[in-house]
Amino acid sequence: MKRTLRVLILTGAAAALVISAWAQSSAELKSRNRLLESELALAKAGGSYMVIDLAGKEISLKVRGMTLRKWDIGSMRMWGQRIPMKTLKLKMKSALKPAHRTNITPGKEETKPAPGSASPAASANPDLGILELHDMPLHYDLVFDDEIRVSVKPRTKNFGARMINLGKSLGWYFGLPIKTVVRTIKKKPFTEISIVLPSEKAAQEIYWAYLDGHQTIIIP
Amino acid sequence: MKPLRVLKITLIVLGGILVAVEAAGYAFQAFVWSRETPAAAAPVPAGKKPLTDADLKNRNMQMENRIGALAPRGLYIVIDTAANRLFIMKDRKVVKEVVVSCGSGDILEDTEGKREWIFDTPRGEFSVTSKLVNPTWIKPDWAFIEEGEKPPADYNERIDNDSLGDYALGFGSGYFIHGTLYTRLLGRNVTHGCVRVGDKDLTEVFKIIPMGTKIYIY
Repeated sequence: MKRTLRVLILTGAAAALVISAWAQSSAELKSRNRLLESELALAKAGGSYMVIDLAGKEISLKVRGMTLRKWDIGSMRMWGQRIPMKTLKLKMKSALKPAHRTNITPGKEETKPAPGSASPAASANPDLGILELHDMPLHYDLVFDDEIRVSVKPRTKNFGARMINLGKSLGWYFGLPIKTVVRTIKKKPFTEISIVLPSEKAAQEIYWAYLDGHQTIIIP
Repeated sequence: MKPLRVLKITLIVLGGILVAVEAAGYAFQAFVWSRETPAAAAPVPAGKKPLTDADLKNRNMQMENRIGALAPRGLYIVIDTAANRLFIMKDRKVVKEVVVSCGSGDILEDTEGKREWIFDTPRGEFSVTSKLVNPTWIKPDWAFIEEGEKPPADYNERIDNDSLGDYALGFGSGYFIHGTLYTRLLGRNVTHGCVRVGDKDLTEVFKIIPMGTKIYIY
């Protein structure tokens, strides 16, 4: 009797495992199908688009299905509602210290070098009042439609930047539960994703590459 | 009651509320929000059978192939405006890397005409629409306004035979990949939107790249 019971339990458990694995692979196939449909539409359109692959830990800038640039994700965490399997539009980039464009004063002599100078030492002339990669912020949020926000920060040794990272982490663990309660009452779900990039340069490059309105696919 | 005790009780009550709200937030996240049904595949139209796993696998493979087929073949140009680099690519491999100068991102306002120019290099997909030898630059209004001058009415005063170098490759809307007098600034974002290339590299780019070549700028 005991033996029969044991066999039954084991068989049941094995069947449950097989069914669960089948259901999971079926769901994965459906998700992949949705993502590919979204990407095909974007690739056909011809403009550049971003793919944030949380599972594969990389962010890609793509055009016509071809990767132009890829960045690794150091670590990530997610809070809130599941990400919809569709193309999202970047509504805005939000940063504490955003990069500012310079207004040219007509007629003012710029710090141009003498024409014909062949020296490649561009860094010898550091400040030309122009917008360059190093002017881009290190910490920022990418705000998408459907209440999805991706917070980007770099792994850094800079004391100030580390303090900002700490503040963001505190906000994550203490602020998000409160926001969840408020949004549940208001019936306005949201998704927060926090991404840590391996370097400051990567954070700045992504900020540079991302344009308002940029189409994005987020793979959970 | 002593004020200190009132303060203590208030702090304990507020702390309790905070802990309760935090706990509720974590509970909602764990048991409600993260269990929302994930979006399924595209809805099946009425009267059609739902797709099996084998169908889905097949469909996914077909879509992957279709996406792959959209990528450019042969020669194409990729320009990284942040790094100020131009890459000549062939079948996804770098044939040549060139240091260039891209748009400065500066803003110029014409207070009289109420016009504004933002000197960005345009991003996206373009094609080489013209190839010019000893190109002439017809200076637009902003070139004069930037210098504090009035744009001339006489067309001849706009002609500049020196600034664009020996060759220019146009990619639409007045934007060119061209030469420069300011070779020292190659590698920096200093232009009005065009892509400046050093003389030697420009000659090579001009020779390699045929008309109609796709340009991808990011």
